[in-house]
Amino acid sequence: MELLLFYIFGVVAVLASLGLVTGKNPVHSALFMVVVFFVMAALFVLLGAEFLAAAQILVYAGAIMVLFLFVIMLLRLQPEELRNTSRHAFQKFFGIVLSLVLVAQIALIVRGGFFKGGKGNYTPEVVSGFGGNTEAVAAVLFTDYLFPFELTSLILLMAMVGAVVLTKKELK
Amino acid sequence: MVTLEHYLVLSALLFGIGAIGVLVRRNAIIIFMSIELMLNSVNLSLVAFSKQLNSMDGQVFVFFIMTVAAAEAAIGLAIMVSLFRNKETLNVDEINLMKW
Repeated sequence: MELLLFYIFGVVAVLASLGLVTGKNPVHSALFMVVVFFVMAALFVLLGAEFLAAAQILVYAGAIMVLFLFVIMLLRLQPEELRNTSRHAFQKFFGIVLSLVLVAQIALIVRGGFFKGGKGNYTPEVVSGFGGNTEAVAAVLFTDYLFPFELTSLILLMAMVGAVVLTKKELK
Repeated sequence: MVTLEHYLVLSALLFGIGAIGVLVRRNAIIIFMSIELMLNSVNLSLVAFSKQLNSMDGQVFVFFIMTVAAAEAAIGLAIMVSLFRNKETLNVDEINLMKW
């Protein structure tokens, strides 16, 4: 059952991301991307990371995609014109070949089974002892990773200020 | 039984598709979306490792990556808006101000 769900979600994710990459209209690409994000959230649930699944839908499918769609709406984009066709075909060929080589290399490493790290303490029993995945993430986030967590607030502040400054019409 | 390898191969496929998008497409917004796709595929492999190794650290990393991705999307789209205002195009072949 789990395997069947994994294959369904995996095929949908790959097809939707192919649609994202090949779409001529940026709005279509953005909508394909929403599909990818939702499928990814489903895979997170399959992996027992419910908190991240919820965060994925809220942050990516909610906030980031709305931002993308707003910007696409604000900039009336012309369809991608094919100038410099010969150079572009050359880039296209090498882009695809190099990406396939990259995937093949990763697949080789995965097949080699080099992942034999030591196990941590958070077995499923311990996680359910905490009361669930969210509580377990919080227990780590607010103890071992408290300082990086505080720093993320700074990153978000910086992004906010930066976005306002960059889109301002003129600086006085 | 879904193993770690299943998730890693799926993640590699999505990462590769994202890399194709970055290298092949010329529309800056679609390139940006492909970068988000690559970030997301790395998130998937981190969560898969987190499950495999019975550790919460991977999931905490994914949380941080999501934060950085949100900040990056805000800044990147702001840069695109101001670029479009100045150059009337988002074709990355024509955005070559800093190319020597």
